[in-house]
Amino acid sequence: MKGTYLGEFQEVVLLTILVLEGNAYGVSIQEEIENRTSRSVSRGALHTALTRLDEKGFISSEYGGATAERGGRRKRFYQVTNLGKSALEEAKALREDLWSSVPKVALQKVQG
Amino acid sequence: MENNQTPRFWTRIFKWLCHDSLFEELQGDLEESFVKNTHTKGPRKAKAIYRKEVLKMVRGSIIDTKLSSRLINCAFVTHCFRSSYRSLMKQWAYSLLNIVGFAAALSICLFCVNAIYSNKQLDQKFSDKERIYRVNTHATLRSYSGTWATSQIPLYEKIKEAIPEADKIAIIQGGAWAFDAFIKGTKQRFQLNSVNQDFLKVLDYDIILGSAESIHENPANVIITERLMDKYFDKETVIGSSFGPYIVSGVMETPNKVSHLDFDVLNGNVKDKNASLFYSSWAVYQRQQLYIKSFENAEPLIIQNKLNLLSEQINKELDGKGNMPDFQYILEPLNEVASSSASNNQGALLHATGQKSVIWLMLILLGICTFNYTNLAMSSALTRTKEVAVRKVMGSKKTSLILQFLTETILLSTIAFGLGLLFFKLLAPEFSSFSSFYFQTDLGFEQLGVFFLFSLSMGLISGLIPGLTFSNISVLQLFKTTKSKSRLSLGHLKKLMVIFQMSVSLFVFIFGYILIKQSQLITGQKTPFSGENLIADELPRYDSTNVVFKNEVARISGVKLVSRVEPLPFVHQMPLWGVKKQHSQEDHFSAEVTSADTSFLRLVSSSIKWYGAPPKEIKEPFFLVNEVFAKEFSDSLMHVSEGKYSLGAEVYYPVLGRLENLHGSDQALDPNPAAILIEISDEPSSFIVQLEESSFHESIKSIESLYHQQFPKEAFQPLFLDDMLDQSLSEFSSVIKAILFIFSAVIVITIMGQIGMSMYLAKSRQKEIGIRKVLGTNVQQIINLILKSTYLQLVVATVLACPIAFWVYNQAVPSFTVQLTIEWQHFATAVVTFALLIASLIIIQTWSTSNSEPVDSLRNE
Repeated sequence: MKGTYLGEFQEVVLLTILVLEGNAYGVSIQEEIENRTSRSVSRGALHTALTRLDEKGFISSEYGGATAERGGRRKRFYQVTNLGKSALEEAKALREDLWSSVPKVALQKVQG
Repeated sequence: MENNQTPRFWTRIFKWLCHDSLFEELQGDLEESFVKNTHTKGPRKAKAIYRKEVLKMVRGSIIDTKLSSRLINCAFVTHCFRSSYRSLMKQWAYSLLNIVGFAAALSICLFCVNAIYSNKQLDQKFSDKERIYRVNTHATLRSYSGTWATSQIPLYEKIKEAIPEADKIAIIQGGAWAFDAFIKGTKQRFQLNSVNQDFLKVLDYDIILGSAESIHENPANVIITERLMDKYFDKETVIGSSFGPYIVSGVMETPNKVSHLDFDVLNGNVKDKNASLFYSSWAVYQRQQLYIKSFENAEPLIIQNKLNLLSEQINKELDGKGNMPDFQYILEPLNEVASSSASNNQGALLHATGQKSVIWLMLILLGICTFNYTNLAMSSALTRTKEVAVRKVMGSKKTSLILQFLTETILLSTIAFGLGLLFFKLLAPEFSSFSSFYFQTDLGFEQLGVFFLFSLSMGLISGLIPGLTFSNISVLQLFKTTKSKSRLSLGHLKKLMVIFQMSVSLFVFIFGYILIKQSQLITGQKTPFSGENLIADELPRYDSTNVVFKNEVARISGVKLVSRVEPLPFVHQMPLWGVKKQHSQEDHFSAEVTSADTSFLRLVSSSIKWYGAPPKEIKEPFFLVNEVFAKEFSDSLMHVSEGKYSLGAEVYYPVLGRLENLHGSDQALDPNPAAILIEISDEPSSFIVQLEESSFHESIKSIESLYHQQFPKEAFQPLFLDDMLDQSLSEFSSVIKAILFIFSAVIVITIMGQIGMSMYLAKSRQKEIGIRKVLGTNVQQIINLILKSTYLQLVVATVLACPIAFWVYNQAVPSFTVQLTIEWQHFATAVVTFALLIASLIIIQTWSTSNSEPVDSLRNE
């Protein structure tokens, strides 16, 4: 299970890569997550999540061109692999299954 | 674009910790964010964010692989350790000598430092200790002056009146009072000290059982120390137990473990101004110690000024009353009392002079072991010149060579530090248990730190010297067999150090030898009172019963003679008197004077050198004096034997003879003028009996039964004067023993160094010896060859060490009662012994090398 388990932050990172389509690299992913979740994410933490996803085979990456604002260093673009997409779908299905199983009464907020 | 530059320092840090494969991506991202943040949030904020981001990069996925690989695969470090270990094991004998010698020196120094440190810890437990002072007495009487920790009994009242700044005045009296008690089936004698009510308030020792006030409620009550309770009583039943004529009413902590004072039994019966004439006299200042606890805001300077005024006033009052010294009372803060150099200072392990000598010894010891260590390190380095050359050819850098030597020496010094610490930890509890003084067995972080740094720096120095030298020499130079003579090479430096080390060792050797000779002279001294058949005793009453008793004793068949001597030698201090010359009224001197009856002349007849004819009939009292007295009292006008002398009153007595080997109260140090006044009066309070050796035991029994008849309530306790002399010299002997112990350690460490050097000498010339043997040289010739260089070193060391030892001995060592005259034979014996020792070490080493098969040593060539 450990090999395919998708943590919450990893799921967010995977979805963000999909959202960004072909422009998913370190800075853009970090900014996108920060904008959408209003949480500050450090580049170090993002790197750890990306490394774990890469180890599980959920993402692949390749270097792009160098840019001046990066001091002539290349960007590393990330893509979600088919395995990653399946993992996302599984996670979504699990959530939906759980949501559908929750009785409506349980979701009613207690007044007072 | 200046603002778009990321902080250089943090970028460098990131580059250092980040794995190479990740650096491009991550640094690019960080830089891109930094540029964006600079535009949107300003350069300051951008830099702060950048710093934070770099710090958050410190995580396993980024640095783990890189740093761990750096550490684990740091072939350099592991290689250093591996080759250090290999070379240490290859030269295991050097390494062992290095380690053990250094460790021994370190542990001795740890002992010395801890002894000084323990001394500083004394008196720290008392509340308001910074407001407590002891009043010392500085007495000056013309030729004599000295500072005493004690003061006169009447001073208490004077201080009470003159110094209102004194909140409390504590006194402790003692030094002369003892009582007998039957405990656990045997009769024991205990010293008794008396204190006033303020004493246990000023010096607030912990009271373990009972109360401090109890001794002032009943004169029969005493407080004993925990040490005494553990030895003779049960904790459950001690309170209320009878203890000789006293009752135990309290138990307090043992004072010598926490303070400069040392006593066992306290009562509250202090002697005041109404005490007997003797005790309340201003001439007696050895019976009482006085402490002042000042009020909170009182200035010590003001108290000292008032004490000065008081001293003047007392001196004025005493002027004309006999021949009194000038007194000056000095305030000594409690935290300095433990290391005070005042006489009669109790309990302190090391007074100021002792501390200084220990520090000197420590410096010598550390100096010798530093030279030993560096010498051995250099010797072992010298044997590796070819190894270094091969390494250089293989491309070893300068730093790697230095690091290699450093790793080895630091490794050795660290092991030695650990071993030294182990020696200390193992031996300290033993030392603490047999020492009657407080000795702390735990080491503080500070002490450990200092010693660790010392051993580390030793490792650094002894590694850096060969490391730097080798790294700067060209490869060809290293392979050369002939050494350049012009510059200061490692070999020259080593020779210089060997000579220096040998000189210091020889100095210690000579100094120790002279000290042993001197202490033998003192401990084996013959006094006029020496002899196994002499016993002495004090009589309990001061009336005619004593005369009857003395006459009865004289009639016992085994008694040769009975002589009145007051006070008894070696038992009590001889009182110091002001002595006046009749022919020169201006001159006053001081001398220790004992009085005796005429039968004393027969007792010491062999030791008397009469100035004229011995008196046939004694009509008036006269003096027998010692050599110092004769020297000090003779002047240009007349010899001591021609004048008459008085002890204060206007009655003058002649000096008829000199008593050989008569010393003052101190049998070891500071010979004072001393005299015995032969009187005709016959009311003895103490006496010496000379017995026939054949009926020694029977005579003692007869005296005992006679004693019980005359003094039925008192216990008969004869004193053997030889034992009393040994006892009075016990403190001196223990000091000498401690000094000789350190000296022996220095000599052992030196010898270890010499063994190392001789091993090196033999080993480094192994091939030469092999070739010489093949060419037909015999063992004796080889030994002579090896010894040749040592002869020169020994000659230089002798030339340096002998005059230094002579000078230091004359400067640093105090004057003794029996002074050793240093002669050339002393130096010759020490030097010859030392030379023989060194030569035999070298011979043993060379012998084994020259007896080995030459083929083995030459096989490698």
